Amino acid sequence: MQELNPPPQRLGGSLPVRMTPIVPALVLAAQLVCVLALCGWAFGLAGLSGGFFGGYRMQPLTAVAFMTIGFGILLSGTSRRGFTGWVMALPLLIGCSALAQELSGLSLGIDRLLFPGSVVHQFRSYPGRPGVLPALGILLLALASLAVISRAPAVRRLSVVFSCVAIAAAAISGTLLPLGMSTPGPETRYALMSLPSALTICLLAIAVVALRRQYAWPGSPDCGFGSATIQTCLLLCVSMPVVSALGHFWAERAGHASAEMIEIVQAVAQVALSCGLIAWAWMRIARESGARSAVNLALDSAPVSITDVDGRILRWSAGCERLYGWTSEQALGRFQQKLTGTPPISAAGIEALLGGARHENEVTAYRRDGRALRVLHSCQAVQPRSDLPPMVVHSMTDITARTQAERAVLASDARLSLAIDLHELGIFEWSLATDRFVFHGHAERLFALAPGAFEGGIEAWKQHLRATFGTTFHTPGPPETWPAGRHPFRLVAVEGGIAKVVEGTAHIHHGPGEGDISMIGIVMDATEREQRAEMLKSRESELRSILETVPEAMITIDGDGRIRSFSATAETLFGYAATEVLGQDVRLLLPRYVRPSGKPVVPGQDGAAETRITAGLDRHGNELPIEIAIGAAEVGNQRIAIAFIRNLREQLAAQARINELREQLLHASRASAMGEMGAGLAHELNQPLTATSNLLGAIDLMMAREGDPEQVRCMLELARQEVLRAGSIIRRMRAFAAKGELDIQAEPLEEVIGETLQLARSRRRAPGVRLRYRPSVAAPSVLADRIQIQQVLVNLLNNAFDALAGLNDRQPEIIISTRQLNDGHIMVSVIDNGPGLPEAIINRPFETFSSTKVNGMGLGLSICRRIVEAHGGCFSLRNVPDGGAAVEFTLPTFAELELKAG
Amino acid sequence: MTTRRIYIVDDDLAVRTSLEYLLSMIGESEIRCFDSGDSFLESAPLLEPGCLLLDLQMPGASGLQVLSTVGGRPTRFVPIVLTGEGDVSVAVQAMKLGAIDFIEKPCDHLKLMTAVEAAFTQQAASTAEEQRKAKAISLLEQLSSRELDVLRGLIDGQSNKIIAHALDISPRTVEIYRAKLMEKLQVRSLSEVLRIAFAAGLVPMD
Repeated sequence: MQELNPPPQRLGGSLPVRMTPIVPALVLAAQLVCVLALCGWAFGLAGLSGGFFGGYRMQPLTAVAFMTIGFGILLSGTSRRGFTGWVMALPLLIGCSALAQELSGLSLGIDRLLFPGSVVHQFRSYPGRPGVLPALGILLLALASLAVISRAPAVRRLSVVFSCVAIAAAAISGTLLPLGMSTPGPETRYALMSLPSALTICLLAIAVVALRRQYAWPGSPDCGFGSATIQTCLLLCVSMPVVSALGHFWAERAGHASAEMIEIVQAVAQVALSCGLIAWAWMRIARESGARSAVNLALDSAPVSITDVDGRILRWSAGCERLYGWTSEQALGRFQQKLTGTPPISAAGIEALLGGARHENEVTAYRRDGRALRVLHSCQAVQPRSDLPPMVVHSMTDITARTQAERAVLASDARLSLAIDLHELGIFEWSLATDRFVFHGHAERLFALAPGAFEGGIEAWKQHLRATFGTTFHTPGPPETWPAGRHPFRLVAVEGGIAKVVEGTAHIHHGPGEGDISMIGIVMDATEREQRAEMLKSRESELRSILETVPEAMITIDGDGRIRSFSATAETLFGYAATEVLGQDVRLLLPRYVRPSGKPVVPGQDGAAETRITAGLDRHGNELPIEIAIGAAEVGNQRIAIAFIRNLREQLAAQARINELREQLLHASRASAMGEMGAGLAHELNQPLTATSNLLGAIDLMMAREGDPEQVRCMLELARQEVLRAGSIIRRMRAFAAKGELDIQAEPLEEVIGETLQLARSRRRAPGVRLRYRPSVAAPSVLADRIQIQQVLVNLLNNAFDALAGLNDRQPEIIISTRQLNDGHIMVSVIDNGPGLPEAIINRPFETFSSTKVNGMGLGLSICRRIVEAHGGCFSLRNVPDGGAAVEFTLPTFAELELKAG
Repeated sequence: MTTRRIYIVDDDLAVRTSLEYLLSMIGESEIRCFDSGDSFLESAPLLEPGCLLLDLQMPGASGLQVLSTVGGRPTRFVPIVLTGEGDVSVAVQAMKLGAIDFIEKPCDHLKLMTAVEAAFTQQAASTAEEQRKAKAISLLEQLSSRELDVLRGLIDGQSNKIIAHALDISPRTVEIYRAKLMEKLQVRSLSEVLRIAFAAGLVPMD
């Protein structure tokens, strides 16, 4: 497992070493000691170089060597570790030369290289030469320092060993003199060391060990606790006997206690120290193993499995259980590739694995429940011990979600680029640091740049915009002063009379650092949209002007019955200003009694306008008669109703005026007809008067001549009848003149027509017109107002007479005929042989005031039709084939009605 | 006096009857009634001369049409227009067409009777003059063509010589024709000759 997370030192120490503060402190202390020793030599102060204890002083060369080592150690903690090797050459040289001279007995003549004057005045075998033990210490420390920076782990392990040996040697030999256990002499010089030297060696050795602590103990067996603990223990184990032995010696020498007592105290101290050491180590181990088991648990929670080379599962972590759904019991002993449905590793792949290669691929695996997983599968062969068969460690990472996310991101990217491409969007980026523009999508085309041609910065960019579009972004001042946020822009370039509009937004972003300003923007072609908008605007204004000219008031209402628009005509009609009523309930415009209780319902069908007449309410509370047509339309997703409202007040008033006028005209026409009739009636009245006058005259003459009384009586009777006849004529005339309601009675048609004919014949204006009556009806009683029907006939005959006036080529003739129809009506026809009716009159005969006569009022046919229709008859006009007009109307017969009643 | 004939043309029965009653009071008269202008015109050629009482407003041929038809023989029918609608233009038209009177209905029966009497008087006068003319014409018809030529010369007031020169005959011959002429006309003087000639309607040529 450790192999899966290789420690940093496998990388050859290329990682920076973080030095604990104690290392330079220790080194500096050692340097201080050395410097003091050298000062002692330089100024003749023997105490500074260790001369207090037996005159055994630290040699200058030794001090120089130690200082060089200290310098090397400091160097090895920095990035310039390579120099350490070179620096260590000096102490190695000094140490080796000292030992070589000691062993061979030769003198290289370098002993008195430093402070030769002071050095020679020493009680010593070879003044100036480093002692044997200091030389060994120099060599050990130099080697330890070199081992620290070695690339080989095995060599690095040696640094601690060298250090420990150096400390042990220094501790023992360095304390001998101060404790007075030994005296300087030629015999003892191999075992003695000056105090400064011992102190320096100890400091430097501890510094090396402390330096070593920065690295894990590489390659150590998995024994459950960390190398730092071991190193500390080792150090303590080494120094403890030394301390105890020194104590023993000191006590014995000083004679504080008996030998036995000292032995006992030493043993007790040993035991106590050992127990303390064990307890301390135990706690450290427990703590570290706790941490390690936490690491184990954490590792176990990761989907990691171990199989043999064939794929048989040896270990199945909890992470795997969760990932695949197979429990450890179920999985152990089975083939992993079968269990997870992954393809097995090929033979060549296994070979490569055993060769130390790492195999990593992305596969699709399947859970126990069949769900597919995307897994990043990496495996590596390990052989923890040579006596065990190699194993394959599999590490699976569930990247299903990541794959899906990646796919989603890819799809999103693709969509985005597609969208950018389809919508012809452009994206541009700029940052103050580089002062370069980067364009994506259609940005270059939209900014009228050749692809890849623009290289300049923001100033060139602004110049380009100014040259092409005549304007630029509204961002005055240097970029540092630009405010962050969105800056929409709109650029218009006119090319050949066509305005090309480019729109977009630049977003300026201020980073945390000074001058960290960037801009990202989007740009799009708005030409078409602007044109469309322009078109829409003009269409809208056109529509608006059309709507404003609609004579009806127009109101649109939304689904809630609120007024959405209120036309100018509506303002005039209702007296409200549009701003006052917009958003108000439309029922405001209706009087209380016609207001619907609920919300007005928008009609369901499109375009099916429903028209009805109702009342409206204007601002001043006056009711208006209105005609309202409501249509529905769909605007967006909302249904609205459109109401067209017409004020009927004027129309109704006009209608009333027309009706009144018509009444007056009817009366006038009746009066005029009465004038016509009056002439005829006067003639008719003349006849009985004349007859009476004549008869009375005859009677007078006869009486004078005393004639036959019988004849006189006869003549008197005749005269009486004539007077009665005159009276009936006058009655008829009075009835005609009266403007009364319809007085329908059963009238003998023969009589009605006969009387009319008599009237017509009396007309002066009808010279030579032959007037014929051709009755063909056996049941001659009709339900009619005699006077009115006579008026109709008189009118029709007058028309016919007028039509016949000036007719030269044939005998003018008017034929009145009657004909029984099947539906209980009698048809009366008045046919002349004149020029016939003009087409205009045939098509619209009953329009008031349309006349063919020069002096006509155009009322005749209209009145006739009204009268006939009031009788329940029909009135029609046509031209007969051989010239002439036929006017026909029907009247209900009396007999038919009786039958119905019965 | 011979029998006086009165023709009544009116579409109204009562008026006809009353007129018949009234006019029968005149005596020595023969009254015939017609209910329309058409029926009168049908039988007019066969009727004796007489007084014509004519209504204007009638179906068929109106009174004025009747007048214009029979107006060419003024001596046969003396028309009196009897109408209910007195109108100056119609009256003038009627008078131009030979009506001797224009009476509005209803009228005083005496006035009507006077008018009828006047009609008869006029009819009688016109009858005497016609007889004179007929006699003169019959006398002139006895003359030869030469004698007529000479007569025309005399009417023109020419002398015998001028007549002879115009006719290319001798004055003597003219004198002979003149004597024969006067003999045939049974007159003695030139003035008598001229009177007969004028009565016959032989008027000098301009």
